[in-house]
Amino acid sequence: MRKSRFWGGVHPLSGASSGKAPTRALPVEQFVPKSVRIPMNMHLGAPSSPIVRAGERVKIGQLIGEAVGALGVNVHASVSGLVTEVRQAKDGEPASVAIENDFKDEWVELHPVGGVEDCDPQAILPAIQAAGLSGMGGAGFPTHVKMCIPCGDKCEMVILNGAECETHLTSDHRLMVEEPGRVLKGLVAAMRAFSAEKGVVAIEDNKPDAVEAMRGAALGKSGVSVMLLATRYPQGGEKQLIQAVAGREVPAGKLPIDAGVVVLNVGTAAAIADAVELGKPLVERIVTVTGRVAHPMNLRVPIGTSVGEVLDYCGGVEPNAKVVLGGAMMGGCAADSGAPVTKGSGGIVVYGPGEAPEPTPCIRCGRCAQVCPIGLVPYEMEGYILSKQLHAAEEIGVMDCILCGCCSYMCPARRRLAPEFHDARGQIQAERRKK
Amino acid sequence: MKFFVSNPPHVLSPVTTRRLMLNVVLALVPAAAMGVYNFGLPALLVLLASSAAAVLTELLWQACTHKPLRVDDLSALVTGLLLGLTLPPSAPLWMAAAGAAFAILVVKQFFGGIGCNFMNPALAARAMLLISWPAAMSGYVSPGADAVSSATPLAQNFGWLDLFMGKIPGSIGEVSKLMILAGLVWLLATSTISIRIPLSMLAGACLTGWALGANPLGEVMSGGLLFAAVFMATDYVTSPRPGPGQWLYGLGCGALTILMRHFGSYPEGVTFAILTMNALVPLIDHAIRPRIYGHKRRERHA
Amino acid sequence: MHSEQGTASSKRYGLIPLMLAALPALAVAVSGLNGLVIGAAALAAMALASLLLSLVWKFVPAWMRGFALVLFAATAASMAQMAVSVALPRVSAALGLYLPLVAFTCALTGLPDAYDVDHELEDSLVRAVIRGAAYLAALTAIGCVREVLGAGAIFGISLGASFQPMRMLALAPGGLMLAGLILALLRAIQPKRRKEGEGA
Repeated sequence: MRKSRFWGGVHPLSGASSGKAPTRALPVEQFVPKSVRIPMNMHLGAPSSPIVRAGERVKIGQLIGEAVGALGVNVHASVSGLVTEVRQAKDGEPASVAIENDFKDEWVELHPVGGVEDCDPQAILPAIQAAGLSGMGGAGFPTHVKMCIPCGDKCEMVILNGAECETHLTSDHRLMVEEPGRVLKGLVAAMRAFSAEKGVVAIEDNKPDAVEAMRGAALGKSGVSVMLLATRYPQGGEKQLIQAVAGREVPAGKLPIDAGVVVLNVGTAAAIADAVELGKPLVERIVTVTGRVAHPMNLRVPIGTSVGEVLDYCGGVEPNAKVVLGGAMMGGCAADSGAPVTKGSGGIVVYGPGEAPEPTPCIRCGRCAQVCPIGLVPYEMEGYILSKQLHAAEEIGVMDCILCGCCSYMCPARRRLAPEFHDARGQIQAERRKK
Repeated sequence: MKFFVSNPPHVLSPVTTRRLMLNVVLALVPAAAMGVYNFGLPALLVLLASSAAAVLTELLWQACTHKPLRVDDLSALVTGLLLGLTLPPSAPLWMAAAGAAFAILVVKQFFGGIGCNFMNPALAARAMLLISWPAAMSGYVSPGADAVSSATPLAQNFGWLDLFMGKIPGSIGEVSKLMILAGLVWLLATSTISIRIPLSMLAGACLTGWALGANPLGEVMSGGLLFAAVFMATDYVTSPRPGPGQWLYGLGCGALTILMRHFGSYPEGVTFAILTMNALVPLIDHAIRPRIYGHKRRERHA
Repeated sequence: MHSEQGTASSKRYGLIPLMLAALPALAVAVSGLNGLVIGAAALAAMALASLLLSLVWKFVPAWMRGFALVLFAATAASMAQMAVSVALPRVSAALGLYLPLVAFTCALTGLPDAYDVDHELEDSLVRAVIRGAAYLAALTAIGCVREVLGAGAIFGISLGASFQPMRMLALAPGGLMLAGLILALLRAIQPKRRKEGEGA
């Protein structure tokens, strides 16, 4: 049954199967980099602080960055070898640890908790926290914080986000096709940790092989089901997913747990399974490399690998190309080839060089309002923002904006709506903090 | 190696402002062609005069006020063509040009340019011409070689086929309902407009006409109602946000048109009906807002 | 000193309230003659009211000032109307109520000047006459434009049958549009006088 009960949405690159055709059938290959530079700020909270020094030898999985603050996340070495440099935070660049790969693939001693079905549920959360898990769907929310349920709230359902609604990306798709068991184990672990009765793997219907694989893995597991969703962007947005799967809305300004639901990316779920059953911290992830490269492929890449090294392996890029870390709708651009693959980087998509078109005046066609998944009126918000009435923009909901980019995508006048809302939200948040 | 950097989204929908305007121009071609076929050279000249004057006025204004030249987004052309199609074929060319210049200069540019006008420029210009030179604007010419002035067709009786095909006196673009419907089909097929406003406007007109004891179909087929429902009331800037507000707007336009036809002093009511509703659009948009995800209906403020 | 304080009213209120005082005249300023007569009446009323006020200002207690303003403006307007009805009875009949109305509102907007400053008789009179002259010029100009373009005549002399006048100008919307255009022109040629937050 296809259910898609979320508002608005668009179909980018619908004529070209969302750009996923080149890579969706390619099995994942392991990539071995020469060196990595692991940043300390791959998650939503305060950057972690490095605890190793240049000249030290490290093994894979060794703790190299300690969590700082309530939303902090541990950082681990993704290759074994010599620490060549520990850079401090400077000029907007985060602190990072650079490691030269000795290709020995030596792991630290691992401490698994046990099988996901029979281990102590209380031990799951500490294992996740120790493993340095943060959201691998892009937002980077610390997973162990997500697992802390506030007093009085109950988690009824754990939803695994297998939608992968962004264009070009096939990492989650290949994960579900090749390792459905591992993903399922992560779901079971999360369900037990949350004491949730139901677990749902939600997958868009443009991935029939993934659906089949996950259904097979879910056979016999009580409370677990696989739900098919209509393919539409941003089906994989947390709020839209909850609306479509559970039929509920997350109250404004609150978290999904306040609606009795927790959402996890399938990649994060697989990492949870590793943390619990194998004691493995998060050190690598699947990345889709596609676009204007000679050899598009899905690669399993150690965290901290430079984008340049990955692109060279795939055939190199032309000078002044545009390299986007993520899908076309929300992915940010890499400034240069030294940019690292982080815990949340789902893909590396290469475009040819080209200026974004100049915005022309708004013609009030209202297409932006028709596609907004949150029910906002972007052209009105933009009007307030441009006339410096941030308070009015806040009143009509700019803080509810999920920055999905549907409005900018549809705008016939090519207005840069999503970036403006991003800036406005930043200004409003800064003002709120001052008070 | 440095990479090129820009803001997301990195893929954009193929629909641009110019494409939307072009769709409207193409939708107007059947009505314009039929008008020229029916009324001959004078009609063609009127259309050319109004279109050229509109584009030229916008070009001159943007050049003189040092703004970027945007005539290539075709919005001025659309305004000029729309105005020309609502004029009688006997209108003097200088009048058509003056109307087009008024539409672009006063109604559109003086209020802030494209996207900022609070009234439909072509319609407001038609209203201006109507009250400035009422005699010239009411001179309806029968189609064919004879330039015989007659009373407005609303005051006469015609066969249904003639009303539909357009072999009646009237303005250049308003007479052939068939061609207007062809334009409507094109606009709907290209997703340029939605069916809400044309449908609700016709429904409002029919209901009001029936309530007043007139023949609803007759009301729809005569005068500029169909043309205005498809091309004038659906102007993006002066119609409400897509949604329930558009149904209300259309109903209002249709009802007001019939009321003005029957109780007003002008034979044609659609011009002032739509202009009145244009003024009410900000109110409609303010009152009818979509519900924001995560908020209840009543409390909408952060 | 004249130029600095001469526009105290406009500094306080901006240009638009002054404009509003003369707006009702647009209903009847459809010919050059009408505009001239109304403008002249407004000028006379402003001068007279200003004169009267400055004569008794020192003797008016603070709580009576508002009342005094209205009284003097109304007196001046009535006297102007009586004068016009005697001198130009047909024009006065055509203008009807608008003449005393506009004379009153124009006189009223000019008067608050009188107690902004340690005034002298000549100063306030000169200021009132200057502002009145502005009203006169504006209303006459508007009247002429509307007569030429809207009725095809100038001061009663027809401009030929082949000229199709634009009737809208002779009606209310045309008058308001013309007033707006004049305001725009004034703003365009006076950029340096405008400062931030200075109203209108």
